[in-house]
Amino acid sequence: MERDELQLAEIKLVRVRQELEQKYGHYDQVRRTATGILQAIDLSLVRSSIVKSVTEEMMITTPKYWLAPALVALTGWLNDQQDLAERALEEAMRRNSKKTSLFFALVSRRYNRQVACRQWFQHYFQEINPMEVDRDMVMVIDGITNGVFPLSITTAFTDQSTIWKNELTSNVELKTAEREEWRDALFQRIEYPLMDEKYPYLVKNSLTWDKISYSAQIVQYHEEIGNYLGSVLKQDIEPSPQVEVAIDNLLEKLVFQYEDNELSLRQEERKMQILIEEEGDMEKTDKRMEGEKELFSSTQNYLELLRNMAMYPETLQVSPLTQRFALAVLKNVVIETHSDLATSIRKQVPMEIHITTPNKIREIDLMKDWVFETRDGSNMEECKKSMQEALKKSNKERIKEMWKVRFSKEYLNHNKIKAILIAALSAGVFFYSPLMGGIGVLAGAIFYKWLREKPFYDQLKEIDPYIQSEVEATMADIVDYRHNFDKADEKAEQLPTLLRPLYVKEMLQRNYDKARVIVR
Amino acid sequence: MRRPIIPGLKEREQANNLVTRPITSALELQERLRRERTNSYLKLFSELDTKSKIHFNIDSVMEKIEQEFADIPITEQLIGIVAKCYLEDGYDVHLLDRNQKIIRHLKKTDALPEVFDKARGLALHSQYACIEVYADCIRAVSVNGDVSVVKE
Repeated sequence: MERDELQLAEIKLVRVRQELEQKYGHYDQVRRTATGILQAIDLSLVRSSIVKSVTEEMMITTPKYWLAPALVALTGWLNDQQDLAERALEEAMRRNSKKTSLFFALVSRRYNRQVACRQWFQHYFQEINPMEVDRDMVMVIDGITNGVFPLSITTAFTDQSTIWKNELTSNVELKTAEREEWRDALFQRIEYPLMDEKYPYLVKNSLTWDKISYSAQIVQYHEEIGNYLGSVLKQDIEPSPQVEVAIDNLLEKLVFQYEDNELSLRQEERKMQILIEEEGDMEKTDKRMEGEKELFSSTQNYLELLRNMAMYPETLQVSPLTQRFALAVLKNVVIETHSDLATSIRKQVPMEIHITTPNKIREIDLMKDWVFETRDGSNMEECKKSMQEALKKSNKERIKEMWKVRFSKEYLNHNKIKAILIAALSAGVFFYSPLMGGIGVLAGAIFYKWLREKPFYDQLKEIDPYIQSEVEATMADIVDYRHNFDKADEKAEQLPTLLRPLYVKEMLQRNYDKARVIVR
Repeated sequence: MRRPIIPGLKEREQANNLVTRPITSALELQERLRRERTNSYLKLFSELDTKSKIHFNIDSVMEKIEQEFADIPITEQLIGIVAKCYLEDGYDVHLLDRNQKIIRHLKKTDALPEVFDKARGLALHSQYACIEVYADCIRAVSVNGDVSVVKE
């Protein structure tokens, strides 16, 4: 079944990629051209007439796409053709005003035109609604945290960001929803290993095993999430050596960002990728896609965007600094959600652990309904005692049962000759000498009883070491489980201690300023 | 409390500078119940053991709880509190039942009423000052006053 799914996914992936290539392949060409032009101009290796003819050709071959007229405007600007530049710009703004203003903000920053850059940004920020933020915001934040943009823009943005965050979190519906989303994002980040091999005796001998194994599994969350965030926060950041390179990276990200009409296909592509990674497991794939679904919706609110930047940096292609920025902005919500999760995990721990008869004993029909309750495995002697008593009791019952069978009518009928012979023999001896006969019959009866009951007592003796070791091992497992849980639970403090010292302003680097800058 | 100048506008609480807004929706209520608990409220539970042997006034305890949740409709308030008991070695938790207005110190072998039993394990955890039991969820109050919520 899963094999089929896997094969199907591989075929579908190829098909989706073909379709993407066919439908939007020409976009990619324009995208590559954009940064190509800027670099060619830097080095002045290409004649301006060639650049011009290339961009004009783009204009014809990629209808409806905003980047084509933006490139024409750019070349117009470079060749000092104001009229052409203005007309092309108008068209680009009409097609996608947000991306166009961002594109030119970046370009003017690249050539250090501060005033123009600020104006373009103003234009961009005017259009932003914190409830419906586009994905290109990711790129803006990336630029801001990496110190690519002028200081005035950085401070204006961080102030605005605080206002948005406060505004959105003061809305209880949004905040509650966001907490739920964070809960899933945090909890599902981690793979939970099976615990069966760790506590083999509890698996066999405990009625509470389901609860134990679940709680032992999910408590791994603390360590894993702590490690993940720790690695995020410790990651080395290597800023690009020059501001031009940094901006070109951002420009590349901006122009390569999927257009809205591409999204459904890109989502399909991602789904097939995950399905192949999960080796055809549909359930896991759906779960992971559910977590990433916002990445493929064209707009999201500011809180959602920050969450995605913090938890899915690979898919959004954000730099570690931006990831830290997002975590710093939302740290309170994250810490709150985390402590909720920690409490929920603690609540899953069973108070009392029930131990029951080991299977081997159950197989020979002994003490079927024996259950012993322990909290931490400290009452081992009591447990052994209780088990031995139960064994004795059920052994007695078994012997009783055996006698009942022996004196039952069917049994006697079946062994008629034997019974008559014994009766005749004892009667004969009895008539010969009543005293001798009495003693003989009594001795015979006692011997017979001993003979019949001995195997039962022997068996009890035989299994005694087994049950002793079984009880000891199970109790040791319980002690281990409690100990391991407490140890793993202590790590719940990792996440808050990592996040608390994060401050938004500290996440902003100024790599490209000539003078030292203090961000207030 | 001073009278607000503009009618309908609630006064800012001087102690913590929070605007007490009237609670209008279930979500707002949840948000309010998530707010950090006050120090005097937390002290209440640390004193339960030490004071219980000498002189103990249940009414004053109940009153303090009422003060803590004065702005919340009574039907939405907690129905009881379970907290770790340090009385003697054999003791496990104490239970404060609001309906019956009693405080009971329970031994390890004693059973809790069913509604409160779900809070017992959490109450024993060293991080929590007390566990508040509500009709639909439990709220764990940590030693520093932070609140975390576990839905049923």
